[in-house]
Amino acid sequence: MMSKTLNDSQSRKEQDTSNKTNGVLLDVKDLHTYFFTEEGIVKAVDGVSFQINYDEILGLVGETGCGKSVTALSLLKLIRSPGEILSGQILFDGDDIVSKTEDEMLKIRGNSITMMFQDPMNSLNPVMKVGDQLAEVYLLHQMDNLKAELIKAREKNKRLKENLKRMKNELKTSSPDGAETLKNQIKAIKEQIKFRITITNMAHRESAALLDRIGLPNADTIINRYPHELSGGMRQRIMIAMGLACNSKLLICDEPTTALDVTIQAQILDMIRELKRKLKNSVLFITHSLGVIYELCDRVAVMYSGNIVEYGPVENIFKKPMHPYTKGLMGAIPRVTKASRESELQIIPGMVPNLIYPPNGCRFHPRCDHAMQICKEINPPLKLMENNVQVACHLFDEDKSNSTLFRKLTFEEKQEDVL
Amino acid sequence: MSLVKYTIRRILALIPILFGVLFMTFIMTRYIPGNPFMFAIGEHPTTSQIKAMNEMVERYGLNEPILVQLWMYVQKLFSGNWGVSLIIRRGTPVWSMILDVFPRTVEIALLSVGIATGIGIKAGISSAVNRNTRKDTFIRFFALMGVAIPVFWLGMILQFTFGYRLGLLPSTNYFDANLDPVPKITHLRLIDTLITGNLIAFWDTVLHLIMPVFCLSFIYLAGITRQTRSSMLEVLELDYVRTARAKGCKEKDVINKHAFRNALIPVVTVVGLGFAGLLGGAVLTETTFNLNAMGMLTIQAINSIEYDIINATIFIGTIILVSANLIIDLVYGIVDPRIRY
Repeated sequence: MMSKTLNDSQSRKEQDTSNKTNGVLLDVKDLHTYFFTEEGIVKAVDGVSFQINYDEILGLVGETGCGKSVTALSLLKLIRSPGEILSGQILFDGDDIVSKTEDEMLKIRGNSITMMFQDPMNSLNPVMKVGDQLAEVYLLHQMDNLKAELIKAREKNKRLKENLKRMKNELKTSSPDGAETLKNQIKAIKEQIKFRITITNMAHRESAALLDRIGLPNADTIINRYPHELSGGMRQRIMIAMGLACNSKLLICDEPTTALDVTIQAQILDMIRELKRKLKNSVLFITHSLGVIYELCDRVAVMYSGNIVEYGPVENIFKKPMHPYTKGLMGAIPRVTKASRESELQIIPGMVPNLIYPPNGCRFHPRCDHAMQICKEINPPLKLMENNVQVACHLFDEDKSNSTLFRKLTFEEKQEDVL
Repeated sequence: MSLVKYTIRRILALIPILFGVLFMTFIMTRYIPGNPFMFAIGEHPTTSQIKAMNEMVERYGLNEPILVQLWMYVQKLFSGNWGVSLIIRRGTPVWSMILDVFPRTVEIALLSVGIATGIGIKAGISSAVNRNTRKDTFIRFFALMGVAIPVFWLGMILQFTFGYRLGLLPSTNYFDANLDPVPKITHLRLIDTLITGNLIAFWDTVLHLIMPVFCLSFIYLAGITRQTRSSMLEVLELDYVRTARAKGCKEKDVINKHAFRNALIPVVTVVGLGFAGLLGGAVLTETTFNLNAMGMLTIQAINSIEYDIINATIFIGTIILVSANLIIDLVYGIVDPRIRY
């Protein structure tokens, strides 16, 4: 399925990354992204920190509206008014993205960081041919490459034209027997000669080659189709292709499988894993499906209401979730066993908090079974636990001597903060 | 291929509509009490006038049963005879009267819609992109003014200011009647004067057209701006615009390449129907500036119940409107590939 070119770029990447193995590609430090709406300030991302290493898939999981997508958009500085990145640092390969200008961001977006959106139905422009949309990425970020290709193609065209001329001269002098074969040859050459070759042609050729590489059959005809003429799975693949066009160092996938049925989901996940293995790039994978996280990711960050509450290697967190919210999420996964048929599915009581007026202290405390007085007062910071997992929860505070602070809250007390 | 079939089918479907409109206007005008001559002779006619009127009624077959008259009219129409004027310009064929005024209407409509579309789309986009800024407020203020101001009032204010007080522009008529007549090649005066190289007449026509065209385009500008703004605002929120931004497209390209074409469909409707409406005649503006184009002709015809002229103008108006609708539908297909016929 994957052809030569991918392997080429793979080896190139290997050289780049070999001296940076286990280094940090993306380092997000204390990111705050707020939206200043008329109803109030929506604290969508409130002090989020995480890292993505080279050649790693980090999963970002959480309920709808917990700030996953806003975090992803902040990485590209695509937060539009009334939103704003208030403070924090996003170090990408050592450069701070937050302080970059719009012009500098244009070179990063779609080039070294690409983003793939949920819902491929609406993420492609309905009035542009798929090929044009793909070609745009090449035209934006790989101009030098295209120019070199263009020169090559034009030279080839010129050679063909010269050949044609030569053959036509031969035709005049040749014997009647040879004339027939020569005529056929001339015809074949004429088909290859193009009247005019532009840089757009080159970009289209590259796009078709890319689609071919990611396993879409009939790539040449697909690039001349409009998005509505393709199936959901094909569209998602085209979105992925857009993300791969520039061999980005970081691929952000914002719920890429949400709108697809399970068969296509599985195919898309396989594809991402496969490409990741070959290209050795890093992926930030946003989803609300824990199953997908377990399948795909190396590490996971669990987000709740604009904060990261648990963060660490997937294996460890799935084996032994520590934060009550993570436990709740795990408990809410339906399992097909005899026991589960008889018992009811576990749920997390309550609703996701309003991000304009989030609860004081730990934002999860109104829904938490273990909520204590201190949870109402202090938002717990992430704390490194023994198995390399970081957890933000007062349950793991070492000094619990203060009995008033660590008193368990009643249901009414928990609800005081909920608006 | 299906496009051709679709167009042919639509054109065939127009035939019953056109006949329906033709019959309706014909019968409705004939049901107006009295006849054109009765209006012409006034309230207290003399006996000889009444006698003359009856003769005329007889001559033009106005005392026949309505269906017979309708049949005669349709027969005439299909032999290319649209009737003659009975009162306004007695004896002049209706067709030549329309040929006199219709090109003026076309000229005014083309200029107004052209200007309004050009500026309106630009203003609408810039208003949507700079949403809720001072620029947006400024543009919206003018757009709202265009919707709210009655065109005849605006026309009169302009006449008063530029025509009367400042004396910069001629405030009535289509051109200065004292100038030498211009040969009618295309019937569009601006083009004819240019072809014959008669720059004085050309400039004269331009001066005459400035105020009416300004009035009309101001009104249409408002509609187009508001429509462009609202549909741009809608499109700019959509996912594929975000995709384009995430690709690294410049904001200019995001707007012009990705968003604008998607926002165009409602704008096409407004522009198309506006143009069709103007071609049918801009009654108020024409009357204010005494332009004597389609709208004025229609009004004059109605005032003196000139059966044939009313029928002809309404018939032409209908043809324009239905073909504008057809063209709009075809343009949809070009703008948005999802629309298939």
